[in-house]
Amino acid sequence: MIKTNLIKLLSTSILIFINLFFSACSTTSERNVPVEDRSATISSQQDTGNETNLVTNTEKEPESIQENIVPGDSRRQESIIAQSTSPVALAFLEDADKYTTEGDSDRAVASLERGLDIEPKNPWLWNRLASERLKQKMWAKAITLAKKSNAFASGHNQLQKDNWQIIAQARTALGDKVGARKAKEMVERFSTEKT
Amino acid sequence: MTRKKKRTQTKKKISRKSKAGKSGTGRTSSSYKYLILQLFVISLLCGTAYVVWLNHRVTSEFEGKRWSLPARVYARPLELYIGATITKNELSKVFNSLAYQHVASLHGPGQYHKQANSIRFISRNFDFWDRREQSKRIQIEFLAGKIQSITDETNAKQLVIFRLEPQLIGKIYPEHNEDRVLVPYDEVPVFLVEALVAVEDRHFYRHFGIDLKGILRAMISNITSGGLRQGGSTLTQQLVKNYFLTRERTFRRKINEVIMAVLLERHYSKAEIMSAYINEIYLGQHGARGVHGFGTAAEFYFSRPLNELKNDEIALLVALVRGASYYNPRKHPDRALKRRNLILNLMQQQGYLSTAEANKEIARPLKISEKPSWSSAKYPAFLDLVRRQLQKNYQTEDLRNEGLRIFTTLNTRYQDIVEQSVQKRLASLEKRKQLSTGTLQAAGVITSVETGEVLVLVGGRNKNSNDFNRALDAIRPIGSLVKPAVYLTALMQADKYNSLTLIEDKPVSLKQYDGSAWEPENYDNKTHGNVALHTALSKSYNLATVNLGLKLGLNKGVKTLHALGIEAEIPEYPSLLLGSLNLSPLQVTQMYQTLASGGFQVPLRTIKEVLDKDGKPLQRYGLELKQTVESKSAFMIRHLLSEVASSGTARSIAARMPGSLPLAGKTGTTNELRDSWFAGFGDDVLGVIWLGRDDNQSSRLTGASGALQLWIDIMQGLRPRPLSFITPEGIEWANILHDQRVQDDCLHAVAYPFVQAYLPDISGTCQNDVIQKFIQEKNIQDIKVERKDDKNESNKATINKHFNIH
Repeated sequence: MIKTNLIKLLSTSILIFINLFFSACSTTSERNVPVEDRSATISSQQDTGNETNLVTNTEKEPESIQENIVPGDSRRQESIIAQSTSPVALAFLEDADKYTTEGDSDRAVASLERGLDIEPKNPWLWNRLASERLKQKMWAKAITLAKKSNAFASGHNQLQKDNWQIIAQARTALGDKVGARKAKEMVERFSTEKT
Repeated sequence: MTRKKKRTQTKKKISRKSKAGKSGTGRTSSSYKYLILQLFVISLLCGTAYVVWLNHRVTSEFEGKRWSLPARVYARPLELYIGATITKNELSKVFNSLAYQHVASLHGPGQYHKQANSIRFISRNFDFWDRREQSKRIQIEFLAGKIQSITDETNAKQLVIFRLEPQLIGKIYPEHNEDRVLVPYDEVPVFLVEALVAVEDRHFYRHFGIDLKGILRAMISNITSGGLRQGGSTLTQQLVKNYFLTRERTFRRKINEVIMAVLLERHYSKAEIMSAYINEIYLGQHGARGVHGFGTAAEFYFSRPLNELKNDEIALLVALVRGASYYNPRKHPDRALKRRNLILNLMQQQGYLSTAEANKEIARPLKISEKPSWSSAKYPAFLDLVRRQLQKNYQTEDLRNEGLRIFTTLNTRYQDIVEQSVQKRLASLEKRKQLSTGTLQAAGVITSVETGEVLVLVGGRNKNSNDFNRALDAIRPIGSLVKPAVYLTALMQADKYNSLTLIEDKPVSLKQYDGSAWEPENYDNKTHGNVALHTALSKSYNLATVNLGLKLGLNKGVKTLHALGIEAEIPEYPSLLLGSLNLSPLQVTQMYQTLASGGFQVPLRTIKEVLDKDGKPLQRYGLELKQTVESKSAFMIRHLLSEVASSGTARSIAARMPGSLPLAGKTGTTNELRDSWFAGFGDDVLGVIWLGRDDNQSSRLTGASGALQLWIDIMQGLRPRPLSFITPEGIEWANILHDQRVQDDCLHAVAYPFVQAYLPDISGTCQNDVIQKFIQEKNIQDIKVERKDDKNESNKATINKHFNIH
């Protein structure tokens, strides 16, 4: 009787051991690799990384940029880019345009600010930044940036006119009717003044 | 009872007794067997439970493991563009700071080669916030100290601009002080894996976590020696030891190690185990911080990423596995070299290297960087400000553990120039003023005028010290640095004040709360009567300033200071007009930032972007600005400050940097010459310098003799752009001679800006008329120009022509 019980106990224990052993060694279906894997991140960036380091590509058609710009901006962008004399600023403006057409406003802003690190008094870069903030509906920022552009835009009537247009639109959006009217008056003034 | 019956009973008794004796012996042996069996079962169950627990530990900790990664802090990247002012030698220094190797011919990223008028290099891949800059082969050509062309040699394209990867300037460490650079398995050099297998675990790809032969060998050795002398540990076991267990050398730990190694191999692939090993293994000590993983070790010993190391360098790192301290190449180079060569020989024996290759690697000398390029001691004052600004948005734990990548505004080239200038100038001033070495202290901030980015921050003369950060925390009276705010307040009332408005430089006596009289004096102890506003500021007349400020009203002056960006509480006492206002150099910089940028307040910032450890953008700190001072007034005060630099109290600038004019600024000196200040700017950079003593004794220096001289030393290195005066709407320039407006063609007049609506009438006589008459009367044929600084021959011709002298 005792023998029988002992044998039963032993066999049960062995069975439990075997079960536990195999359960201990079993793998789960999902697990996280403990080491970071940046391969996905890197490859996803590679597409935008191809056009690094702004290149003066004379083969690039200005019209191709125009087609993708928000209506109302096309004439402004063309005249602004045409008037900009610095190749560095021009390169950043073109870069910003590229990002804008891709719908990536944050990168457009980053590109323009990078340009301002190098040419902090370039009124076209400030103007373009104001325009971008206007699109982002950051009205107060757009006004300040347009004013900043005007501070360096002496003698460039078309650019000043554009800046005042931005200010007028932003003030309208903010409900500042008086301010918007004054800005529109300035637009008119720069429309009639010769450069 | 008969004898027969008695005999039978006895026999029965004997028989029963013998039976009883047999079953007592039988009972004892059964009990032992039962006990042993029980013990065996219990042991089995306990053992099983223990293994189950270890298994849980292995899987949960290994899978759930997130290494605490320090945050990495980068300086601003150098932008190379056509026309950039940088020489070939300056660019070489930048490459050295980025741990690029100067080579005869380019083979891989992180190498450069200097030629006569150009530099060629292969850049490294780098993930910026906005994009990945791929590695490129570039040639830069220089002409007259500027970049003339940039060529992408890969496709022969001319570039307008190229961005180098930024320098790593520091880290913010986890609390357990482990330093780690994670290296993904697909970026691990193959040679490293081969070396580890060859040296540490030859059967790595064949065993199941433990190498039985190796264990047996070690056991025999340990038994015969009476202790743990030899290890037969596999890489897996080493990983388990580093990852989960302590370093104690006991049998218990060894048993755990063996079981866990088997379990680890059961659950994870060889690649995963190798990858974890490469990122976990302890390879050195940097002060209080452990250097963990080969990625970190590559930076620590060679200041280069792991994938740029040569085979001999990788072999050296593998040598450290057996004893990072014992084989430390900085402390024990001979030992390290010997072990490295042993490893290279071993690899040759096992067929990983040919004889020729091995010999070539063995012949290379040991070349370790003196110290890690990212030593956080390098720019402690700047990193201090970065940390303070980060803590507004991030928890300390996140900063320490999440492997954030922080991109800052520091310009390391400028920082090095400023630090060197501080050392040199302080030593010279101490000598001149007969002060003992180390008496004077300095603090400085350099920013970008239009964007408010902090390019340089110096917290004291000891550049490597973590002590008191004077740039942020030395709150000192600013003296005459306050005066531009007073004069700006006046200029804002364009109908009443302009540059020519006469103000009274006459004695002032005001009763204070305690009944005593406050009677300020000019620096020269003289009064100057009625003086033009521009002269009072240029010469920094105290009495004129106080009279003007009191007339305007102290509250207006305070309002202007707030508009300029001073957030601190400002007491409205008359002494405020002479700078009885305590600010830090950083706060002063904020104030002058608004003046320099034409009335646009730009918050000073050190951080541009923050990415997570995978390079995903987390936050961007974009350009923020607001116009707080109207543009016409801001323009005029800026112009007046340029006069301070050309002919006022800061005229040393004109003397020492004539080619850089116009520049602008203001000197500041406090009572008993305790503080020497200068704040000045060009078109692109603003610099604020403070000199003084920590014990608040007299520095024996005025703003002009102390801080200004250091500022000039610095700017001679930084080469700021001269001020441009782009006239805003509503401003008109008029010629002024002897503080009166004169006609436009007046030869000796100087142009000043005025609000158009309040342009002063012409009231002065041009000297031309007087001279013309004199020339005609005397029949003068030629005029020789004797002005000291007039070296321009064409001026003589102009003058002769002007006076119709032929």
